[in-house]
Amino acid sequence: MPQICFRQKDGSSQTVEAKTGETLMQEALRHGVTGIIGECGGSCMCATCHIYLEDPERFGLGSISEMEETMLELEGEDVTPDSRLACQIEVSPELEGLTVTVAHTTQDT
Amino acid sequence: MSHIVIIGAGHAAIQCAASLRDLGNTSPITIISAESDLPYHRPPNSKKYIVEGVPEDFSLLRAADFYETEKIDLLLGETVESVDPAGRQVKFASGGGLGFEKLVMAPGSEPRTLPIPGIEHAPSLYSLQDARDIYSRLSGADTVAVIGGGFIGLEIAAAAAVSGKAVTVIEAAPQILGRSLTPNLAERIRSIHEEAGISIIDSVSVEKVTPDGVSTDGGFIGADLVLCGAGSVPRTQLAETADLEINNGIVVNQYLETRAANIYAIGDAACFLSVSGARRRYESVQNANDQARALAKTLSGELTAYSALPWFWSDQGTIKLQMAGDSGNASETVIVEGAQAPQVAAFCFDAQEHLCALETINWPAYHALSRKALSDGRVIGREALAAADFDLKAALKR
Ligand SMILES: Cc1cc2nc3c(=O)[nH]c(=O)nc-3n(C[C@H](O)[C@H](O)[C@H](O)COP(=O)(O)OP(=O)(O)OC[C@H]3O[C@@H](n4cnc5c(N)ncnc54)[C@H](O)[C@@H]3O)c2cc1C
Ligand code: FES
Repeated sequence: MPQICFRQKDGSSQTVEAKTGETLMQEALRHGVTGIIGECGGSCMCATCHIYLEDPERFGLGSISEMEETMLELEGEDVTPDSRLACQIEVSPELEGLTVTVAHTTQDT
Repeated sequence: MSHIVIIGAGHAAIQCAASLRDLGNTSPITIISAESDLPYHRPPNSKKYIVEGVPEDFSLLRAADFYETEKIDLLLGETVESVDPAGRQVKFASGGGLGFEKLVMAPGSEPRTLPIPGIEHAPSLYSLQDARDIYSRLSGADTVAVIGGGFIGLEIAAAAAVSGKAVTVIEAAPQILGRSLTPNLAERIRSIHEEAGISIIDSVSVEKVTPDGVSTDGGFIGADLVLCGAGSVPRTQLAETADLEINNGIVVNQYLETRAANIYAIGDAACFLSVSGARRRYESVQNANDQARALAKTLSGELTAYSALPWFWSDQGTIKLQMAGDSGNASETVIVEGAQAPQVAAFCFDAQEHLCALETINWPAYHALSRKALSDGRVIGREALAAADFDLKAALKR
């Protein structure tokens, strides 16, 4: 089970042991990571699981589907080239040491 | 500080409590749920759980320790039997009760039960517990009949077909999804399901259900398992005990207030006054969450009208159906084919020839674009779209 670090914009962070095969969104939710809601349950419909990846290429997370990309557009100016939807990333052993920053600051969006 | 009591623990109830805390509201909050499971996401029930089983770590709405951390009292497995608006009390079916200063009713909707003999042989799917029960019965069945061709009926049918069952859908109307979708798209969805091997029988009424199948006015349809997906009705029984106004749900104004002071209704059960002035009631995750957010603001001192753009999705096998906007205002619809069949979009225009809703099959990009533009309040005229050959992206760039 890889260790994944969720960082908040205020600098605080929480490292969780993520279950292989689940999505990053579900693992964040299970561990109560602030700012990740997963309103649509991972159907790529809500963008309430918006995160920024650190060093995506290193973890093989460089590519993004068209569906995810357009859904991210709902986030407007908050979107950067490192933006991803946590529900579209499956946890695998290769993600050991990954750090992501949560886009939203509260439990809510 | 005023005690806020929330009835129900579905999407609306939990988002309301979470938003209250996000807004810094420190009032005592009690959530009462008839269900015994920790509050969970309902949509996977009909898409995954009935065929894959409900995992131990099913998809929760909030982490298990959320309620304790946020000082929210969560009473599970407790049904509210009646509400006394004057005495500001809710009464439990198990005896006892609870006082409130503010009451949020979020009891949701429940599957419609058909008044036909033997209907007890055709379980319907609502709760996680239903999903567990249906999963255990489905695993032993080779043939499945689904009564009702609405969203949930079709999701069940598609999931069962993907898992190798021979599936028949029985629909009373001439077409599936009759009330909810542009006929052209409904027709296409039907074809996709039929190509995938699902048999869809329309225009028949069910007369009787037996353990071995369904008798209709068009003949007998044998099945190892019969499931009922005949739509939902708002839960209004509690509101009746409180003498609230009821008309296709619990009637509320644009602030989600019922006619009784300090009693509010949100989610599937609420029939609200929309920004267009029309009465609407939606059964969708978006509606539940966004109404919860608006009400949390009102309860925290900032009177907020509910005005969010409606959106919805339904996953049926290979079909991803998405809707944005209020198609109830549509007076004209233009169908646009995508590059990769069965990709298609229905552009719905209101009387002013402005885009009011977009329904799409397997076209998430268009869904997202329209949702953003409509939420931003952009006026997208039919003429401008036509000038861009209904290329939504191009039209929005102008
Ligand atoms: C199988 C299924 C699949 C769905 N799929 C989708 C989808 O893909 N996309 C989408 O947008 N929407 C979908 N929906 C609709 C969506 O789940 C609902 O719109 C949403 O759950 C509504 O939230 P709510 O909080 O209003 O009510 P609910 O989630 O229904 O919750 C109401 C809760 O109140 C409790 N309750 C009721 N009365 C009492 C009482 N007297 N005392 C105590 N507790 C009580 C109920 O037990 C329940 O737990 C689906 C619904 C179902 C059933
Ligand atoms: S959970 Fe909704 S888009 Fe990720």
